[in-house]
Amino acid sequence: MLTLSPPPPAATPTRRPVLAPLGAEHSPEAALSIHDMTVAYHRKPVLWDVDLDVPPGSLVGIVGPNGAGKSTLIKAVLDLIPRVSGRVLVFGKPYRQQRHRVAYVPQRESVDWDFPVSALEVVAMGLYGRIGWFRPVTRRHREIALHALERVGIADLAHRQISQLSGGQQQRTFLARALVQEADLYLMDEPFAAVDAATEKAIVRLLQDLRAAGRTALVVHHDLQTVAEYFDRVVLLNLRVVASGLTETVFTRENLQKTYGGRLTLMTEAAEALARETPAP
Amino acid sequence: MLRLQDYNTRVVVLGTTLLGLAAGVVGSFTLLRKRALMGDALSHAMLPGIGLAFMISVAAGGTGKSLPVLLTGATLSGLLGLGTVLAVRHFTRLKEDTALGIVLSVYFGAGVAVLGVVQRMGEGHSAGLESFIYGKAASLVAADTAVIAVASALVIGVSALLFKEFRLLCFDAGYAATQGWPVVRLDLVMMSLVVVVTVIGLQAVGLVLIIALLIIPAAAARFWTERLRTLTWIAAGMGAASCAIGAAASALLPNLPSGAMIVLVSTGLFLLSLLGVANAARFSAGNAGARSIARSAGNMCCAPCTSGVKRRRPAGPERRRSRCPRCPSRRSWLAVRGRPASSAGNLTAPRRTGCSSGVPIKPWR
Ligand SMILES: Nc1ncnc2c1ncn2[C@@H]1O[C@H](COP(=O)(O)OP(=O)(O)OP(=O)(O)O)[C@@H](O)[C@H]1O
Ligand SMILES: [Mg+2]
Repeated sequence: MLTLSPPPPAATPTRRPVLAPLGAEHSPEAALSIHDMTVAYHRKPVLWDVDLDVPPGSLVGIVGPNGAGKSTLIKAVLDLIPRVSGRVLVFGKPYRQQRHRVAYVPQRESVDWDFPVSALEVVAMGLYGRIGWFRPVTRRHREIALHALERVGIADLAHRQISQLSGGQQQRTFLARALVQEADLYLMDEPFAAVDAATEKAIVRLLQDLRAAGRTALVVHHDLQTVAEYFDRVVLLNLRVVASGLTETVFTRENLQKTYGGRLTLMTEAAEALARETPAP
Repeated sequence: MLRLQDYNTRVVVLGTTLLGLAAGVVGSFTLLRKRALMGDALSHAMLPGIGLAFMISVAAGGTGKSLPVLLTGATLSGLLGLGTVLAVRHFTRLKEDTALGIVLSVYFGAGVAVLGVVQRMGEGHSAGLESFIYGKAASLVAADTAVIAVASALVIGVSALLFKEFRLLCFDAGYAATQGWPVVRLDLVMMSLVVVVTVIGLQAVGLVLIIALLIIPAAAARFWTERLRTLTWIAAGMGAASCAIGAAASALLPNLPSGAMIVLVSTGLFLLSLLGVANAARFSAGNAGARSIARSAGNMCCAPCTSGVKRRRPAGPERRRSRCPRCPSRRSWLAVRGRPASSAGNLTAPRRTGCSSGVPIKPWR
């Protein structure tokens, strides 16, 4: 769906008749529904008119070129960046009321990895909300954190200072921090960036476990070749939602072309990915 | 001249020590929050407030020497300075360092001008205001020390209470915000602690040098540990030690300003920390990480260098010339001598040549 008209100046509470992409009607049960969201940095909009519904229990890939606003989309959902207009509902309620059901995995570069904490302490941070004000982290919490580190396969590194972890291990630490939150909706910003094949596989398995448990995950992803393999649904993003919906209907050459424009190398990559996907039913 | 046994000297040393303790604790957090220089802008911005408070209190018929009045003036103009930093950053495209530089110099310049005016108002009046610039610990009296004690206790208490929250805030403020922690308010609390430390440090250390007490002990402590809690303790200890030694030295030796002495002592501690860990830092990828690599590897071959190298010290004639491959000093091996490095029972660890970092080691010569 490509809406070329400029977004309405203010949020209109009335629901517009949308030429909804296949399988994306606004439904009250959606894990995440975004209505007409526009986001701006210093009054310069970087995301226009995003309209999106994510059914619960799905793995959604967010795909788009650098600077498309993928991170911005996630941050705006999490209220980290103010929205110019639009509405975001998480399981039918505003994010503020649903914080405990949402886990955020930021881009790895967003923190200083020289910080004097161990992997275990970072994971335990996912429990701070549950621990509450002023109370210290107890042994029980550390056990929960250690269990999460086990799930991502680096329990033996629990007491390492985080700068001594490899990039993939740091990524796993962040995932474990999100896991201990026991959330229903996971928002992950490039968890596959610069990880090796083993870590990538581990993360994919984790995502599938989450889906099997009925959880929902939105994952920013850059590797077009694996999109169809990993995700049930995709959101093609480039300053606006180019298309969103079930992977097999939306992840098409035409839509990718619209998303990536004239970037030739990427297009070749996408074409290859599609060529490999087309024989499948 | 004062002696250490004197009641006055003890009051001075005790007061400054408590100040150092609190400054070390708060400094650990602000350093990790990357807000260390905010404290500098804050303290420099206090000077015009001191001068103006003096003028107002003289105009109101007082002597102008009332410490609470002066410190109130200092606090207000310090906060105004901080507000200016935030406003410049928010309303212009200037970066934070630029904003800090502007505020720091403009307020300090204004303060110097105000002090000049105060000086012309009358000779005897203004004497002593300069001591807020460079600090004069000897001027502390028992009541001041009591105030410092209470304020330090408050600062340390709040830090202990909010330890977990501050750790999260310093490490990943964005994540903290998504979890519903009030990031802005926590930042405000942290800045208020800096304000408190700066205000109680004005007399002893002075507003130019107080920033050293907020940065240097914490930076030095970073060399010794990979744990925030330990870091806070060490920074507090180093801050207290520098203040105690510096204040005592300035009390015992004439013409040594206390602020400068305190800064020099803490710099000395910083250099010791740097050199003490330098060997490890030079060779390990993760800088101060060597110590904990060694610890997690389960053994340390040579204690001072803590490179984590698992290596048996050669026997025979090689023995005397041999060095730990990771540290240039032979001292390192002396420290290991007590360990059963040459016994066969130690095969599990030091037998392998290689460091847990995976860096290959050149053969010994
Ligand atoms: N803090 C900021 N201030 C101003 N502009 C910003 C800021 N952060 C991002 N932008 C702009 O917003 C746009 C979208 O950025 P965003 O980080 O969301 O892209 P992205 O899709 O995540 O890209 P990448 O694939 O590189 O991570 C970019 O044009 C960027 O320049
Ligand atoms: Mg991004």
